[in-house]
Amino acid sequence: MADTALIWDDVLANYSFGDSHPLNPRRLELTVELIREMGLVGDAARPILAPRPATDAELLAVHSPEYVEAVKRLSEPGADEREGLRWGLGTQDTPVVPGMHEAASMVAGATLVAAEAVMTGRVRRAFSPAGGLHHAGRARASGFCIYNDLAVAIRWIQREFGARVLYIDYDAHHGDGVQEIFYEDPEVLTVSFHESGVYLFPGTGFIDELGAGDGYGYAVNVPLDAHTEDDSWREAFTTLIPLLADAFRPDVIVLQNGCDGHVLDPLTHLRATTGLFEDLVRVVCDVADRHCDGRIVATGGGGYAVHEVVPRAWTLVWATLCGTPAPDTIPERFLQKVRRESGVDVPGTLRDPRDAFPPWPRRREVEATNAQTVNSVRRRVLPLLTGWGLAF
Amino acid sequence: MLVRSRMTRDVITAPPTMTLAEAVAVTRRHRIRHLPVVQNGRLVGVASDRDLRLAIPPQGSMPEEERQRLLETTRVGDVMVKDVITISPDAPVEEAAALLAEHKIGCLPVLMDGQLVGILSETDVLHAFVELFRANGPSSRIEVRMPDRPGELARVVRLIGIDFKINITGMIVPPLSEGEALAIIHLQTLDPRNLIEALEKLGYQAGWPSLA
Repeated sequence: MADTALIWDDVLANYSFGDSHPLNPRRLELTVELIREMGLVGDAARPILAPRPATDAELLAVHSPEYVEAVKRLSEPGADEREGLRWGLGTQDTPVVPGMHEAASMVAGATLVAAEAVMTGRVRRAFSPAGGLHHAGRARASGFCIYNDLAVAIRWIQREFGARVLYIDYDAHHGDGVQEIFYEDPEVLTVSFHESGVYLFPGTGFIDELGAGDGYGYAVNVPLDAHTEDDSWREAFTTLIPLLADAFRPDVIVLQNGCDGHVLDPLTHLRATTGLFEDLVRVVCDVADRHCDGRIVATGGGGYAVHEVVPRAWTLVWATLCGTPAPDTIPERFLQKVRRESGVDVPGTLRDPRDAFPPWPRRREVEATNAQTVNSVRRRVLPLLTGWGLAF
Repeated sequence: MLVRSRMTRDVITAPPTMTLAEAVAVTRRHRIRHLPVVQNGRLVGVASDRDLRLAIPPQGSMPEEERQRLLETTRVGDVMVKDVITISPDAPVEEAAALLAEHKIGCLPVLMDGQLVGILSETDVLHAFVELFRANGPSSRIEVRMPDRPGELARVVRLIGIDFKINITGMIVPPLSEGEALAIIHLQTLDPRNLIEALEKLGYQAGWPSLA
């Protein structure tokens, strides 16, 4: 069995809202280029699989027919933007662009290919860096996301395999779309670590959002204080993820790897370094090995420091999923090219050097707030998952 | 947001003749802190858990038999507050909040035509305020400081809504120091950077996450 698959084709760069939009597909191209340049993909154990568009039926398992129809209509050249507003389209964040249905279907299809490869046993893990569009709702585009590829893949896994899915999301923004779609479903445990919604989009993901109906207890939110750094974030993650996984016992893990919690990301106030993402993925790999024969369907997500952060962060994510620690040094040829292209002094190593960034002055308060959040989550959620308060 | 939409309608009440022992049991069973006292369909007082507690000597301070006898013989009507602050169901929630704060009380019986139709606790008001401070839909939160004079807020809102075409999902304009106004604005966008830059170009101070 091949070990880990990368889902990629250049066509995935078509999911774009124009040159001035922060979600820049260049970050995907550079990620794949760096992975290739470092010799981390392309052998028998690490194949590249091509995406395919998601079918209407696959999209409709999550999205409403009216919404999918509207996206299709608005994809035609010369469509009337104003019609989009009731669906969250034609906004600053998610403008109407020709061909967006095809582009978004291809992203959803890429994550479906990842799910298929993992669930059929063709590979143990798969990474679809173009995926991770976690803000899209059942009938609503939001925050750069049109179709929710994660939810489409999770639904497909449920329908084809009846599997219990643990969804883990460490994007700096709350995974509100995925949470909402599975809010009443006890077969999907959604867990989102993110910067607190007090300031940051989408303004949700507080610890009292716990699921509803049969799914009560099956939505978990860990809002981190703005300015959270590696150690505090790692501590929260390594405390909670194994406990939650042990209580839920998933058949497969779907992992959203938004890297916009990095200190250099222009859109959030978290202060992670690239090395943290490697650590988080390793925790998830351990949990997957223990509970579900290692099965992980991984995607990208947010990440707006296109040149300085995303390719480095996701190369680390990929190498960790493959189980082969990546060497630290970035090939000179790639580095020169990216520095020339961006005019930015891109760091020369995958992992940010220790002390690359000054410590946040209010570190102690941030750590104390996060520790309190972790405690509250344990107290409130674990009893719901385990049936009784024994876990605490 | 009116009191009628936030109040509890099924009010647990007590007659003035109810014993303290019963009253304590009722507040515990229903996990409530205030017991409106009703006689012949009229509100005649409110007994809080504090009123009940203070009326009963603590355990160990007298022989237990005597204490039990006191619990069985003292009536709610003897310990209740008779001078009750009430509110109308059509009052806005902020008026209820002001009354609670001003009188340092924990609940407001809601009266319509002299009839008790509900009760509003400080927790209800707090929940209402939590909602008021949250946005209506996915949003980022920014703060804008501006001179306190006509047209400034309008200019800010115009920039956001007309020039940037960003939906405003919530706005609070708390009082600030003399001559200055602050707006806390929820925006339906993941990326407020360009807007903040434009606001600063117009001479406003804008903060995300927060102004220092």
